[in-house]
Amino acid sequence: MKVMKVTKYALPFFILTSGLAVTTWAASLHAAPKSIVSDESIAKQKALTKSHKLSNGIQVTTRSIPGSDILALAISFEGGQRDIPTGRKSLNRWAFGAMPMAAAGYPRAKVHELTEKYSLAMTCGGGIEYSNCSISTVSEYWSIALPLLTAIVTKPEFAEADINLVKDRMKAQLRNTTQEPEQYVNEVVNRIYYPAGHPYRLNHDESLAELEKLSRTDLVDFHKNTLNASRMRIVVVSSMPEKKLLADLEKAFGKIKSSKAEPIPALDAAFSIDQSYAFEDRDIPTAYIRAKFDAPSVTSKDAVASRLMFEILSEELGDEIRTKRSLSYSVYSFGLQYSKGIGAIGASTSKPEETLSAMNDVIKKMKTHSFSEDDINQHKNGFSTAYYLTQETHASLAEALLGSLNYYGNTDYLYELPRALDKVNAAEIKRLANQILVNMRVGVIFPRSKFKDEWAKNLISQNLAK
Amino acid sequence: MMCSTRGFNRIFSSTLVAMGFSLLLIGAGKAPPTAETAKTTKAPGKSSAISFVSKKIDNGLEVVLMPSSKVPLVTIVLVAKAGAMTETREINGLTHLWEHMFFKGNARLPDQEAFNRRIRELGITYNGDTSAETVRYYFTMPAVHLDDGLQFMADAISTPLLEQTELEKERHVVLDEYDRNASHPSFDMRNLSRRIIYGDLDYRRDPLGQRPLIEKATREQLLRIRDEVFVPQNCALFVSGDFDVEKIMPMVAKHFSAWKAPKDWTPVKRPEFQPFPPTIEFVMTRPLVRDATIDITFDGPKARQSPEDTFAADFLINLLEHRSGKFYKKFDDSGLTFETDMSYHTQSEAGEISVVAKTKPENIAKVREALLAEINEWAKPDYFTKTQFDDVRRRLIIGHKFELNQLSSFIKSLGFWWSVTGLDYYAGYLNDMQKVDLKQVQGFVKKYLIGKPYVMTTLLSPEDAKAINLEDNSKPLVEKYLSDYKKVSQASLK
Repeated sequence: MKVMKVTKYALPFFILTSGLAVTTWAASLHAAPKSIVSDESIAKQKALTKSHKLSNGIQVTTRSIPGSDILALAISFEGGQRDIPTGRKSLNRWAFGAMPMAAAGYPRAKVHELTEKYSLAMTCGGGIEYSNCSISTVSEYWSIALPLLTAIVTKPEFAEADINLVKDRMKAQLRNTTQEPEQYVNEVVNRIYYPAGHPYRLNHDESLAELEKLSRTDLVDFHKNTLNASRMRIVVVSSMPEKKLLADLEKAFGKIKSSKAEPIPALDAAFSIDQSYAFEDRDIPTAYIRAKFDAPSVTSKDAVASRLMFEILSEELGDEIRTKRSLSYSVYSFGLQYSKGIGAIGASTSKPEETLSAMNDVIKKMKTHSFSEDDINQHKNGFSTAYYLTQETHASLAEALLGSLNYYGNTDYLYELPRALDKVNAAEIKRLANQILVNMRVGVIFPRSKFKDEWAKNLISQNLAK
Repeated sequence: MMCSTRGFNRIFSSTLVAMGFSLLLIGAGKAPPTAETAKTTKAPGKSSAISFVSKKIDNGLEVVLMPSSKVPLVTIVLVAKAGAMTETREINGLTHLWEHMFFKGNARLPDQEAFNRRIRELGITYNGDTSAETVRYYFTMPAVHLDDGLQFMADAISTPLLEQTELEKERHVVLDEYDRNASHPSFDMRNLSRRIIYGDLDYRRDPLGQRPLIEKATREQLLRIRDEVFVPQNCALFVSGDFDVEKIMPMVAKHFSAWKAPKDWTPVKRPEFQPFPPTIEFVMTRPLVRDATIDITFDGPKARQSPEDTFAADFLINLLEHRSGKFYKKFDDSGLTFETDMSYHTQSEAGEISVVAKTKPENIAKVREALLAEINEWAKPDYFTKTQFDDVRRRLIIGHKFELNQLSSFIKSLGFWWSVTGLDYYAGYLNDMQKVDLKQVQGFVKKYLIGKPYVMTTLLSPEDAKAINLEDNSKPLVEKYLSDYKKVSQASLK
């Protein structure tokens, strides 16, 4: 049995959940006594990263890790559940879940045989705005891994038996959403944060109903639209010779056709005080609380500063609610950055009234207190560690590079993020706290008899946008 | 995760974690003691060999080093052979509480606010965890802060204040952690299963402990735990990342050598567990459970007593996960279950082998019957193929490469192995796993599984149980075995 002390870092703000959204980055320690993200370090990383194009326009980025015999390849597909009409949103997850099952020339048994024989870690996943397929292997098995991944991406089989198996597993996962309170409280608040018809809305009951209606024809059509060179990017992190790598990728993906497709614009969730609170009655000993609100998007000019704002908010919540008042084992805040930004704060607590009140105190402090520049610099330090942890494994680096490419069209954004963070100051943190920490939607799971709605509604009403 | 591999990852992830501690003040400015022993161990396995340096400083603290200049970070892990297994019933769960108190202030940093400030100054990503046999603390930070980080760890482990006021505060945090566990529908089932298997010594496998004991824990109890298990002879320091081996040892000695055990310290005595009980099966219903879970647990090998059997257990798990194999095809690939696995948690003093299946409630009877029948097939000559053995051996080597690709995580796993099996076991692990053959696997299945007693639990919702005419027969067992946990459950709902 695992018993782990989960600090507020257990839900760090830099986790950008699904798919290929931009992930961990770190701050520069320029102003600090001991600097680790030097200009030389950034320049070296850039020098090891090259940008190329296949003949059909697919952007390929190679990042060299000299001396390593591990290889990670990741492909992103622009488009996710956001781009699919209401009532069919589960199609994305189902399609990407079914793709690795089998492909032309690779029936399920053959896929199993090869992945076991060569220990290939191959996955595909449908995300909110981008979806992806990836493979990790040792360079020695590149000639086996690439053709398999190519077939999976370009010619998935979607055999009835395979897709029904994936569908059944998805349904089991969806049903179990309600079993884990920490997971379920997210859905409780999402019901009001994403009203019916919102492009980002996902609900387990609705997804279950959708899956019943979707068929193989839907998968085939979806894949046909998804396989579009103009909406694909590839990143390879390895020590493979560049010339061979590019020739192999050209052969594998260079013939995929290209066509234009406009993405659906991201929408902030319209706020209504009448739909800002959701409660779920459950006989459990500790309350699960989560609040959600709009935040700057990944491409906003405030994207970097808001990351730091969430980091500081998380620290402040931890200091006040866990360290000083001992109200919660797990209290956190985090930001999700897509084309739409989302902020969240939450806690588990047997004293929900006091905890919600303390949350409000911390929010008030964030909006009114003037942090010193020294305080701000201290909060930046943790980003240095995260910056290099991102680069520790080939797969995490490939994912981070794809995130930078998807949203900024280049990898410089990732590498130079420490410099952008250097520029964030205390005044910006205060401004952003006032701008972001408003119009909250709050979800709670706890026994009905032990919770008063006004506790949550106070947090909402005291933080309405002016 | 994109680079997930089975084999090593699975084995490591099945384990848990640690702690550390000490007493007395740091001797400022003293010349560092010399290392008394030093050895370099190379784990075999083609190009996946790992190198680590193991030394001891003069207070008995073992220091294990894995340098790598891949990224300019260091990870510092402090591990203690402590947890539920070093507790008595009266203090069950308090090692975990102690682990929390580690963060609450020491001679240099008076309280947790100061502690947190220092965390920020050094850019540390940190955590700690407690399991039945291990407590670990781990910090990852920029390599330029190595010296400060070592001092930070040394202060926390050797000079904890354990103040009553801080204890009162942290008690509530730990109780909330307890309640989070109690909020899960499987909480009672896990407690009951543990009690049946381990009898009156079940607390020695339960690091979370008992709620009333946490509510009443005293500073004196924590001080006793400190003196019993958080001493240098019972701990080890692991450091990985971007550092110079020659330069780090003087730093370690400077910061950790003042940490001493009480005079005449001896390791905590650990009573033997009862023999595994006769076969028992029970069904438990709990609201909110969705799909059904069937768990069949057998007695397994203890790592320090039967290491060769632990290799066979790990190899068997890999064979069963092989997606061209009969087991995977019969259960997961056919859709009969959503997920079926065998697990074995490598431990020093206990060993449980579990076969767990998640399925639709209407399939419970079929899955139960199929699982019990299938286990009897595992010892037959044609159940596993030579190709599958070769694939598993290759997978273990490749999986190990991926483990080493994430050194900040791997070093924590190494700490686990030190605590539970000793590093010699680990150093030979990959090589020993390569030697496992069909005969050894068959022998393991016959020795531990075929015809052996087991505890089978089935967890599902009351509605599903009614729909398939399955009765919750756990209530008499709860009365017999879990009266104290029942009180706990009531207390937690107050």
